[in-house]
Amino acid sequence: MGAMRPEPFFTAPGRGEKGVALIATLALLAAGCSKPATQKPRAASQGAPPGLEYLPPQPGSYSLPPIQAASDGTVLDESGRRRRLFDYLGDRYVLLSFIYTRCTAAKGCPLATAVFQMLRNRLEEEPMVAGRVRLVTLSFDPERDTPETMYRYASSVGVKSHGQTETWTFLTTPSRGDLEPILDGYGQYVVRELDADGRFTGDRSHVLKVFLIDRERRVRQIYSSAFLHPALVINDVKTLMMEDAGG
Amino acid sequence: MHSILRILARALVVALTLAILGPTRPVRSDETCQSPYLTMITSQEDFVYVWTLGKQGVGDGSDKLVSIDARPGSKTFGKVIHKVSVGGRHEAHHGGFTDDRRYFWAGGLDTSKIFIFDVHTDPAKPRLYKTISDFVSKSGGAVGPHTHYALPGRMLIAALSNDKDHGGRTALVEYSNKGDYLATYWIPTSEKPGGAKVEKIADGYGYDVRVLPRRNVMLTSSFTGWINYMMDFGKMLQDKEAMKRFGQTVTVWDLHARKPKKVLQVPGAPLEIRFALQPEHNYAFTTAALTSKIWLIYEDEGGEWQAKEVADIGDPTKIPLPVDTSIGVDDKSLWVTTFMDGKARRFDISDPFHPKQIYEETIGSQLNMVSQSWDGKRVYFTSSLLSNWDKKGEQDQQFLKAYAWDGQKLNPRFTVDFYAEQLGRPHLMRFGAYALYGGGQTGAAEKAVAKKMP
Repeated sequence: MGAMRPEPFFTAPGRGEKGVALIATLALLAAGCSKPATQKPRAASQGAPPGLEYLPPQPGSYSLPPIQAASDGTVLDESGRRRRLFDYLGDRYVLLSFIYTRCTAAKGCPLATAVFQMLRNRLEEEPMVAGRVRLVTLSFDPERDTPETMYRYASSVGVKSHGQTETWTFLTTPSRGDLEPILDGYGQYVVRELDADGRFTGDRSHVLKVFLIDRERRVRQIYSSAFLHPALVINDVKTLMMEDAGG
Repeated sequence: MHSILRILARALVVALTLAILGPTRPVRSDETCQSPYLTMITSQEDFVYVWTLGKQGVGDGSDKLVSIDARPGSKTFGKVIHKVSVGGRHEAHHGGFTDDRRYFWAGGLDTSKIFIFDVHTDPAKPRLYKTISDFVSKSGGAVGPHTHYALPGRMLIAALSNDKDHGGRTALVEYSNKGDYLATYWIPTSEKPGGAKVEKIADGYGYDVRVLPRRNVMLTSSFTGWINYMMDFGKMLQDKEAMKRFGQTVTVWDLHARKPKKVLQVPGAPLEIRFALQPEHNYAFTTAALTSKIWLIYEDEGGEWQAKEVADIGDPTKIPLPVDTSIGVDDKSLWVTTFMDGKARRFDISDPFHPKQIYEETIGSQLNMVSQSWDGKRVYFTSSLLSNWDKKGEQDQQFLKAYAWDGQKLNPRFTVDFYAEQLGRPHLMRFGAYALYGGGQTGAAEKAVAKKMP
């Protein structure tokens, strides 16, 4: 089964900065144990955010060319109401993540959700972006991830507003027929894993992608596990804001 | 429902384990040296796809993508099981998969056309899905799409030339996976360094592109322009002016911003770039074709990227012309192929500053690309360099040869004679596998894959 290549090691963020710092420190210690005699390992760049080995480029010092138009489709909110995905796009900058709640892949859905958790906290602390970004978590397992399941998933990460929290929204779809055009539109491909007898195991293999969508409903960045980091995401959002402001 | 807290905690534990153990987990296969964003084969490759130059009088004479069966025990093991022609000769050269590995993009250096093959609907039998014919105009004048390198949801293409003088000044060109043009990033020149620090000269030339996301670094190397790569090889060697028009730089970029940061002096046409794969190794290798040297591109203790010549390849005075390299997953070995003497050389690179040749084998009268499996046990070679640079007469052998590496020597597995099979001149190889697409692909591919699974 296809899986992510292990090379781009990312120190997966924890539920807080302390967790990230701990992992980053342990990772550096581990690297130091096997360093070649001829080259000392590089420590993280001075001033780099925890969990990142380099200083992100400054907002506005680069551009993010539109990659593709965002795709629409029928979704269900946590209360089971039928909505359009576009109802959640356009008024704010949006980070869209596809997950399924049973996923346990270290560099998959739990990573995306953990980063969103950190982002939610950071967004509240950043005056420039507060109230201007929406996080959308959309399940690609409509059979198991019912609106009620998504509600419980949201509750487990501290979101208990039943869809009323503007910062982070949890969605699913009525059926696979509704889901597939959305996945195809974004290029988020998912393989249903089969056992030796060809039966569906319930697990889904996929490459983690998180989409940054501007207010004109255009995808401007696609993050993989190799660089899905709150500091980079926030700088990208600020870059789009500066572009919109003509800066 | 699983507790999200328990799942997150497990994710962190796994990530921490990965940090300590590094990437030597039981990942069993796929090719080394691919984009780190690429979906990976974790079982043995089923196919080797070969992007093949057409030759007049050989078969249909067209460039084509050829599928070779690489499944031991298969009735067609080591045989051609499919070919799809694109019509005409475009100087087929390099190509690469999209990050989700559903499509294979392959470029023509002469016509600048890009052919996109669907490899997921039936992995054994790719089909031509789309052709991009306006690469030059869309990119603002880049010519010769060479390396096709997967980024998340996008394809980054390193070109070789330009439409103003058909020399070596060129650009990186970015497309969406859907085939829409996104942006052009010109390789820095001394006149327009684009903010980059220049060691000696910025020639603006291009060839390969590779990334190290962990350090936010992208490297590009430099070859030569359309005038040279389409010229007869013997004629070019006699042309002193032509021989001056080869790249002599490696450029270090800010990957996230796509901005050049430093232009390193690496004379002699540095070609393929291979980043080390271990998580504490912040370096890459390249080989200079004209000077027959291995160069190390590395980050020093101060965080500055540097270039250092670290080894000879064969006898440089005989110009063996190193053309391709492949690094082992443990960063301890490097295959280097040389076109003129047809040899594969294996270097011990445990000390990256002092590579040592430990093995060599003559593969054929001429030799170009090398691809090895993740475990290093299967090594594949092809023979063709460029239509006007390949050897002539009896020396013009055209083959794919598969070997098993037993730790000491290469042992032949199979050979496909591309002239006898009426195919043409084999160039780039990439691995394919049914397992990448499962038995339950969502979307339109689902039924097709399920039906054709062996």
